[in-house]
Amino acid sequence: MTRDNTPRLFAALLVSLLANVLLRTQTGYWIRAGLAVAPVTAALLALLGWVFARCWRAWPNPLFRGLFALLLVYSSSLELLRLWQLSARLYPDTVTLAGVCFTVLLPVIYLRRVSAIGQTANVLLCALVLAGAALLLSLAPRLHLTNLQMPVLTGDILSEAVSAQLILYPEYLLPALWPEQDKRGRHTLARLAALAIGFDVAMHGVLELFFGTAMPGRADPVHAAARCGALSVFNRLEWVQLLLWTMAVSLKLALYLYALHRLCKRPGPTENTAVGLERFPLYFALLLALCLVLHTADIAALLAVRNTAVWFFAALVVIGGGFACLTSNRSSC
Amino acid sequence: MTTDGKLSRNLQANLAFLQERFGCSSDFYTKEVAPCGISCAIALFTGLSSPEKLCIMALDMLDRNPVPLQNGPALLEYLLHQSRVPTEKQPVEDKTALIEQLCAGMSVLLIDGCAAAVAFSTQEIPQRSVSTPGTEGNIRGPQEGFTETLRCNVALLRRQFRTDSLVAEIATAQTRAKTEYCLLYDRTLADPALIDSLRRRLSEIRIPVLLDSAYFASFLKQDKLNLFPAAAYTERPATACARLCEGKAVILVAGSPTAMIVPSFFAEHFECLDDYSSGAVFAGLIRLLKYLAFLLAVFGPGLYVAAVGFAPEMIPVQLLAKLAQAETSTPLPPMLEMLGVTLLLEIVREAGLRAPQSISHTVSLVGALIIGETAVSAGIVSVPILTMAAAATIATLAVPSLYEQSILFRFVIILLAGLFGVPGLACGACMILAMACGSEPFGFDYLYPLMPPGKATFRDGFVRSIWCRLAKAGEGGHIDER
Repeated sequence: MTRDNTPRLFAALLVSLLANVLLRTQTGYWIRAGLAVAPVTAALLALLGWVFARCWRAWPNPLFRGLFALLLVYSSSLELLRLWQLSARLYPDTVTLAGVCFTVLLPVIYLRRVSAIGQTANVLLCALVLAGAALLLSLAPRLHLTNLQMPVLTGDILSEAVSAQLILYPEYLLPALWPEQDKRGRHTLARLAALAIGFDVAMHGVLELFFGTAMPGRADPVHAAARCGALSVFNRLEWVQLLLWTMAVSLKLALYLYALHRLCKRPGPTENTAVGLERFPLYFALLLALCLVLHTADIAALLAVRNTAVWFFAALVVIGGGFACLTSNRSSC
Repeated sequence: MTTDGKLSRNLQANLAFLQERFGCSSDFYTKEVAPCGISCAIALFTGLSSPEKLCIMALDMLDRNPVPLQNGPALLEYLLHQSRVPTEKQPVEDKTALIEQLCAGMSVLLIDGCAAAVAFSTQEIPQRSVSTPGTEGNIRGPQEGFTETLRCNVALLRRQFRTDSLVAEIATAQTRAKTEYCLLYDRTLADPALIDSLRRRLSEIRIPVLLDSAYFASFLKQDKLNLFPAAAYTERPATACARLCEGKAVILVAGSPTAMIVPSFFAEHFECLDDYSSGAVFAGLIRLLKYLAFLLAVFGPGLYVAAVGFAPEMIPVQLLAKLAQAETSTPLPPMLEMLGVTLLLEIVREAGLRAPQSISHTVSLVGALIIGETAVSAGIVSVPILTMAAAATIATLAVPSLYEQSILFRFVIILLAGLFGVPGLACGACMILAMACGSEPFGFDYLYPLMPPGKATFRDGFVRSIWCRLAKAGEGGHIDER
């Protein structure tokens, strides 16, 4: 089976988005509210991604590229910090920040090629599905319908769900950077948003059936639920979760690095689908330094800043690109 | 005197050239003769070429039926095109070709007054007979293996692959020893782009010495940091034939009984000829066991180190108590213990392999039993560590073609797991996965047909389907169609 030279990164984007759900430290909404707003938020995110991609191409400029690169570096460091904090909670006094940076970033050397990212994402997606099925089987005897909450869907509850689902992760903007993005299949962003939001809602549903009213207060809810598995599978196998999540973060960072490579490289006659090794030490040192600077800050606040920054950046590009479209040739938009 | 340039019309000049080149070699033989009354000289290497064959093939015939010929060029023309003497088709016209033909075991007849010579295929190169290969065990199916003779190996393959579409391209590698290699493929099944690329890349390789087809491997690799092999190897013509039927190319090198197969996929390391001779269910079970063995060989010791050192919750309480008891009685941390035992096992293996056969058994016995037993008795290593290391070593042998990778990965995993615990284990797993996923032998997916999962995954991937389904699905056809 021959490989396609153009990147197929849908699975990588999906794994990257699923990792956000799995690594979340708090739940965001009740399932009913989540289900009610999911179609809207998924459509909105997909639409925004599509508009962003159009506007990005309409007005390519170094400022936007620089801002996007900064956002990706910042996001990468947040992912590392989030994983470090989770590891430290699971295995206290055994994992250092430098250790987490090293273990997450070392595999990125082998994930320089787009084909490697794509294929690894396929394998990881299968592993996540299997782990998810095992988790569900393990939890099944302790999922009770009576735990479902039936609050009246007021504006406040719905807006809470909307704001929890409308986190604009960089993954929704990344397809704008891929070469020949129009040939990557139709409705890519719609499928991506639908699957990510669907998984988020489903996971909230499982957690609500499991925890009931105690759900909002649980820290690391997915992990906490897994540890209580009635079949005791994840009592023994919680290391499997951490293993998979660490691999997912490595993949996410490899994806961001590829995007950074595309943002920083000069356009050439041939498409280069591999990140060079020569700047890898610099990349490692940069992320480690950033993590060391940010490691004392509140991760929830940093993530909120990231979300605001991504929304602001997307708005900037959409306004700039839209303006460029209006003032120049409309066919290019 | 250089080897460049044409042969002289003067026989003595040509003989002087050969004397200058090979005169000091005892196995070089020349004799001046005069068939049909024309001054000639035969030149050959005794041991590589047989003077008796030359006599029977040409000289006797010329003596018994003398033909009236005017001069050297007429004799050359007669030998090449009119006589029944089985000469090589092309005359030898330059000095480089003359040396190459002589070194290849040909007899050469130099003719006075003619700037060309005639080569006779009178090779009598000593060779090992065809026997069962020692490195690839098989219960059923053909038992013969390749030998060190290139022509013999090509013949063994052609005997199995009896179609007109089998192409065997013999070329000389750019080595100091001018070693020959042969590129074999089925022209109807192999991807022409693959063959063109392979032919070009092989011809561009410059290497001082070429003793095995494996020397080519690193030149054909795309990512030099990737530890997974870009090619597979076999000593069995039957396996090579099966791969040719899948549209792959086989490379044989003169002097080596190992054939290289390109492109090679990950799943092929878990397949063997017996899989297809035995029942599908049993073959599937054995394949799954091999995958498990590979995982055990690579991750087993690292997992043990991580479990004992960082994540004891993964071990049942009763077992944990026994392990803790064993570990507290040894002075070293689990990582160093495991590294030490694994290194020792590798040293024992290497010593057993390289030592003379008469003492290799003693080496294994001393290494495995005496050192192991005394180390445990002295409390230097714990029994669980020794058990895990031994299990991993045995598991490695279940997938012999990935032996090097298993060992290297095992050391890396032990180190990472010992230093960082579960994240270290994840790091190692992700690196190995990324290596496998990033490997692109000649643009093909290395993990095909295992990933992405599809019908082919269960037809002839993790397990194999029954033969009638394999045949129906076109298994053994073109790589792209599989």
